[in-house]
Amino acid sequence: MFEIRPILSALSRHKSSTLLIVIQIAITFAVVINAISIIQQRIALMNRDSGLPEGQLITLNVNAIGEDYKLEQNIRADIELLRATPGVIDAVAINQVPLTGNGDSRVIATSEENFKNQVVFPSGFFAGDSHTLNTLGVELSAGKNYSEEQVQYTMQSEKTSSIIITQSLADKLFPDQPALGKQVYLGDFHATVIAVIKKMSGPWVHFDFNEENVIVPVVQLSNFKRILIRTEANAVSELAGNVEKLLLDRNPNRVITSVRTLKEAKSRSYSSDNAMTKILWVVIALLISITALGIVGIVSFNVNQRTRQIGTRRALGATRAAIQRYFLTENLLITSFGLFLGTLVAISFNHYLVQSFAITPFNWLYLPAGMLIMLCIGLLSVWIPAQKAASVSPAVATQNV
Amino acid sequence: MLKMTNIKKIFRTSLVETHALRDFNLQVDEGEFVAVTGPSGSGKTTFLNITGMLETFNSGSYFLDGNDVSQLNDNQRSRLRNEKIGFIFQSFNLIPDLNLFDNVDVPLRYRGFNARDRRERIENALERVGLSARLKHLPSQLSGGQQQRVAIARALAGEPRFLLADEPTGNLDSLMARQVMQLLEEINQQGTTIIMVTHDAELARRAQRNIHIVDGQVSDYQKLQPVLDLAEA
Amino acid sequence: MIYYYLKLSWLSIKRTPMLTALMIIAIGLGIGVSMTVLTVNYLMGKDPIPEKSSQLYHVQLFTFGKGHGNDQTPDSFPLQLTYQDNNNIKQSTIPVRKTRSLGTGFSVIPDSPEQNPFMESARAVDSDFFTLFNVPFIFGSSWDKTIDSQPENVVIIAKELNDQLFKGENSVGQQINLNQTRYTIVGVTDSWQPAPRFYDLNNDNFNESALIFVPFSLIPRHEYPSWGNNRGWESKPINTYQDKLNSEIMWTQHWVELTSDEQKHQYQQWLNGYIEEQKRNGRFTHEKAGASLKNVIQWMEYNDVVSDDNSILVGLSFMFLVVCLINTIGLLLAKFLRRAPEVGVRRALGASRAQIFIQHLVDVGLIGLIGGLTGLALGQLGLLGVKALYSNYNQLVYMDTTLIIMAIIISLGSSVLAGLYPAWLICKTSPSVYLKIQ
Repeated sequence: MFEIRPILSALSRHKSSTLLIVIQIAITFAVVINAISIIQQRIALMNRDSGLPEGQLITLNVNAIGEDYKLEQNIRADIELLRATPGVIDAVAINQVPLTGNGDSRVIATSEENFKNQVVFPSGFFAGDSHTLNTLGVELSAGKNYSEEQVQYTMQSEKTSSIIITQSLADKLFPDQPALGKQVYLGDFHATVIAVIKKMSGPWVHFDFNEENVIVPVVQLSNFKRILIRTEANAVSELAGNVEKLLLDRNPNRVITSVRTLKEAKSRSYSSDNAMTKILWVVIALLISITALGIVGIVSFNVNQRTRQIGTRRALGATRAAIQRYFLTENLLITSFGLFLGTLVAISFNHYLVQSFAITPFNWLYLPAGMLIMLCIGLLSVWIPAQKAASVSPAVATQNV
Repeated sequence: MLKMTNIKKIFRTSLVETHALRDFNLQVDEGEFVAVTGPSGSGKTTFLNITGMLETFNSGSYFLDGNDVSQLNDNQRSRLRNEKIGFIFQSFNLIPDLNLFDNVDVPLRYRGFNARDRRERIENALERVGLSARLKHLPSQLSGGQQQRVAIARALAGEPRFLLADEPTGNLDSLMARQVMQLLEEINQQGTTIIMVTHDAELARRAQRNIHIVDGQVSDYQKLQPVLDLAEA
Repeated sequence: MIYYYLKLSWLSIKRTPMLTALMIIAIGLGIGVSMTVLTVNYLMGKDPIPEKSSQLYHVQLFTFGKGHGNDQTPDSFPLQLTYQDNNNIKQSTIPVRKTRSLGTGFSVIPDSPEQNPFMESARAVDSDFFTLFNVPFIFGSSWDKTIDSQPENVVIIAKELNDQLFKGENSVGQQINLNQTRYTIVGVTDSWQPAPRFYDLNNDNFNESALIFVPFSLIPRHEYPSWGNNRGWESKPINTYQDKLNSEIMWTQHWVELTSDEQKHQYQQWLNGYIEEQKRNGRFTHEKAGASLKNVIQWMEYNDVVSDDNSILVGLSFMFLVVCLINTIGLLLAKFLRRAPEVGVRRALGASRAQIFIQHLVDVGLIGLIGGLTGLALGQLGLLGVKALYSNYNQLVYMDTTLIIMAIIISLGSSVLAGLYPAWLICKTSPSVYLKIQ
């Protein structure tokens, strides 16, 4: 029915062209599997939950001009203005904004002793007033926010007795214990954990400690200040468009830069991942088309070469379907060899990527999925030439050449 | 001129060994018109291929115009073939993409003539076969007889000493066949040695000398002739 | 003869347009994709200052205290220097040129009230910076060396800013208002945008260079903020700018020009001596305390200027090219075998194997050339795509002559390579086989 033995013996007589297709399919398979795996990982990275209402946030920088600029007074006035603006849910003057790629980090230990011994955990270090949590839109899993009275406005190194940490950091600092009420040490001061945030991304999306963050009740007074605004979902773009004017109208003696929605800021942070996924998609699409075209080309050529042989088969009683089946089966066999070889290539290539770069191994389920796709592509590309083969007239057999 | 002594040619595949020529001996002198006949598979074509140095042989010696063919490498054989031998095939073997001019040009290109020499020779050769008006035509635009005449022109353009013809009339109707045969005879009369493989007994009879190959050996036709005559009577 | 082969090859292309088109597409895509990736890769890692990259050294000091280190570098050295160390090593007289460097920024306040103030990134450097890095000047020159120790409010601006503020006219002697302080312009540099921005790899390496340069010696006076990284390890509170200047926070850079190995050796010795001296003062307590000099290329490699993603893409595009070539080999086999009877005729008419071989190589060469040109065009498209995807690669995405020549060589070379086997196969086949058929 499927004539596997005659096909194999025919293939063995065309070793080089068979081998070429096999190698081509093998490499294509290996590249596709690894590329898809990388794409999948990047997409997972980009789509991971930041714990923030990303679509409602706007960030901007205020650069004060001159040495007589009253920092605390201006910050308070700006924030009051923003909070009173229609559409704004809350706003805060903050030292850094999640997902933007800029900010401070600190190492944190459970005690001075541990700190000296370098048993420390790097964390994103957020400093803002009591509206910070509400503006960030994060949820607490334990404890309570600090009150406005606890907030210090200072130009000096921040020292505070209360601190809020993320669950992810709490799990590292105090595994299997509730973190609430525990003491942590930040190198120059001790602080008590007064609340734990369920989930919150820090500024650096590519760092391992992205979800390990702390918030302290401090407003740092510096000429360069970030502001984070949380708006009603439908007010984001409008506000992003006129917030600069709003602030400059109040006091023109500064430069407002980098007014961005958090979505924009986030896509900047992930731009290399986004670019990589797009480039990989293009590579995959082109590679598959090339391989498919190659199969079409070579099979068409084979059909041409074998016209007489096909005619003879037809004359001897082979049906159109049988001829078509012959070519499809042949392709199926070749593709299977290619996929077998390709699995080995894919695994070793992946091994190399894992060894040399920060790539996690691919999920083995990609193998069968990829095989199925490659088999379909193989069959599709052989379809037209097989159709042509099936339409060879039996009369060809008796024609003089 | 052309001398083959004890030529042996064996084709081997993994399963069978075919002795295409065994202890094959032949001498052809300048100016002869030799017709080679024999049943299918007798080794006629192998003989022609070896004569034209398209194939090598396993043992024996072959001298062509004083050159020991077995001592030549591919390059030298190609050179010799190009200079001394012209081929005519049953199916003409014109190159379909090339017009008549370019087809006749092929051997001259490999000879390395300059453009003017080539043009002159091509025009002469095509004139000789009566096709000088159709330089720019493609082979597919010609009849079979015309195509074979082009092939003859191509074979002659380099002025070879030998013309090897493999069933030159096999694909032609009888009228055209006669014309081609006449052309060959004219060429022979002008001094070119012709060796022609054919299965057409009438055609063979028109040649000066007939060689019959059976089982890879020359069976002396002359010796057999009285026996055959007897049988006919 | 080559002309004849080219003519034959053109005829065969006309005879098998589909097969030829497939081959040109395969080679073109292979070249296009790999050239796109290679261009980005090549330009990322390209020597930004070839005339003296081996003489310019970035200085690293291991200033961490016991138990501290940098887990982002292979040798755990910090990438930057403390302010105090930077000033101290400036004292060495061994380097031919030397400059301290800090990335900062200003609000630029135009004198005409219609123009709004804007932020511009800047760099605090010493007078040697410009000669050391071969920064070209259009007007004026660097400030006097004495300013490196006795600060004055002088500034050098780049062409881009001069065009914006002074409409490109010679602005030397004029003043600009930076963050409410007036600076006198002493020079205007030509546009200078090395990519990667090798002299400061702490932030986005392919972003644009600063357009304002001020004396490093002004740092304590005007308390310039750092626009780059600041890394500390001491648990000491920083309450004032002076605290930061005195601290172990690492936030500044130092480059030297050393013209010989001898000089480099001497300087290394001098730095070792400095470290010993500081140890006696109670600093440099880590057992790794030491100094490291890296030239431009070493510094770029140390900082992984070429991203992992790019290296992966180079690997993938190489495999892509291999697939395209194998594809081409298959198609060539088909094309050449189809032409086998003609080859038989040519052989019978006196063509040698070598002539047949060369004829077919010329054939693939021509296809390779057309494929390569297609590839170059596709590569330009690819680069436009890359430009759209990576906003910060603007400096990076162009093909220079080296790359274009490379593309042609790769496409010719690889297609001829692909053609070798089919050409060899066709020329070694016995011609007699094909003479009967047709």
